Amino acid sequence: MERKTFDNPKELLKERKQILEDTVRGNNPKRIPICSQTRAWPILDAGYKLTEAFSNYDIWFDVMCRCQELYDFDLYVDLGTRFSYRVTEAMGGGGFIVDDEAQAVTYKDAAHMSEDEYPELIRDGLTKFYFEKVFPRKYGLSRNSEEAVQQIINALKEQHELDKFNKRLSKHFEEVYGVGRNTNSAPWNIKTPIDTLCPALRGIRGISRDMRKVDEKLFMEALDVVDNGAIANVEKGLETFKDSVNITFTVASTSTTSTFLNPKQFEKFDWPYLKRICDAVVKNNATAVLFPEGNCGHLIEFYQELPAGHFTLIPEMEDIKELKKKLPNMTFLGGFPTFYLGNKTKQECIDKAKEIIDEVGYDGKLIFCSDKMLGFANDAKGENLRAVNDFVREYGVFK
Amino acid sequence: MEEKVLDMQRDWEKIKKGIDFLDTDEEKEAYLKKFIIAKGRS
Repeated sequence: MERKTFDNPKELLKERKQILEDTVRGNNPKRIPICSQTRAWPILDAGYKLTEAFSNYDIWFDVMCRCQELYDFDLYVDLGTRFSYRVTEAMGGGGFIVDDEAQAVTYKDAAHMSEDEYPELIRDGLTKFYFEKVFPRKYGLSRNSEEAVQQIINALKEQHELDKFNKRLSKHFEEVYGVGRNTNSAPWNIKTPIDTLCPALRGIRGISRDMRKVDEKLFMEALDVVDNGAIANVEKGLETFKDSVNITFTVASTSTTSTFLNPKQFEKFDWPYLKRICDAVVKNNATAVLFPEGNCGHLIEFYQELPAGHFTLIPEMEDIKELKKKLPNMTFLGGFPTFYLGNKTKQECIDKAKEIIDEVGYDGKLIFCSDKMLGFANDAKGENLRAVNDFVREYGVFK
Repeated sequence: MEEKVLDMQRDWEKIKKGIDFLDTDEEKEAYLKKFIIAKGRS
């Protein structure tokens, strides 16, 4: 496949930004924008092992440039840099497992807090609890205190290197490809407290049990301690970053729990916190992308409460055509079945893309994207991805 | 009984001193806190 070059990236950046802004606000965009959820796939597509790119930022840089030059996305959910491999390796590994043979990154559903530690979490607060309890359990830190301290210092230095790499990559994407950022960095990927308790502390099994078995007053108190007045920081940040340029969303909120919380549990344990963030987004005329990983169809009535013009939903496992009918207030990010990219012909992929645009993107409130992230080499054939993106860029133009 | 490897009161300042890529105590405190929160939950 021929690599693309990008003339006048400054103008292109402005154009892409405007298209994304109009799409998110529901304001008649010029065309349907295309987003990447390619995650680790570009590394495998370029013929590298995962650990080769994760541990060498020059390789990783080339991999991401190759991805953009071949497939030409308007936006990336992330540039792959969520995998802080060198940082966790400095602490003896942990958090996630990279398997080069299986070409996979996997996360364990592990509980790093026991069911009887809620009083301790409430007493100490999240930072102290993470530091003293979770870090030694989660990472392969030495049992010798002095050595463990040195490992954390080394990990902080690696984090600083990763931050620099992220900045370098973002700058290159803006200046050479005219591609802006998804959102601001880490503090703006906001987690509600139950989404911190699970998976970070109690795991899926643990939290499912605790919602039923732990004294409700104690459980609610723990949620408030974990939340730690987060809304004040959100408000402050919305004010600070209101004039940020070249970002698509002011706030991102990813949830791993909403897929298994029933509507009653969601209403009691999660929605009050999420709604507070959403209200702040609306009050500040900002935008947010909500990513309830897995299923979210059982929570539609909550999303229906949110006003139009501010929110984009990533409906990973849902039928996007059905959701579209029920949530006219939302812009959607996703929709294209990942299965097609890896298993169907070019023409079948193009036909499917046309169907998604006709049925979901007709009003300009769709950021076209694979419905799930691409993680394995076989998740997509490069020629299919190229054909789909080229098609959407031409067919998705509004006259 | 679980062995206590890290102690916030004892080790926090030692770690901050090791952050040689930042200048002020405030910057180091904020960076370390952000790191602990991010790596604790990720």
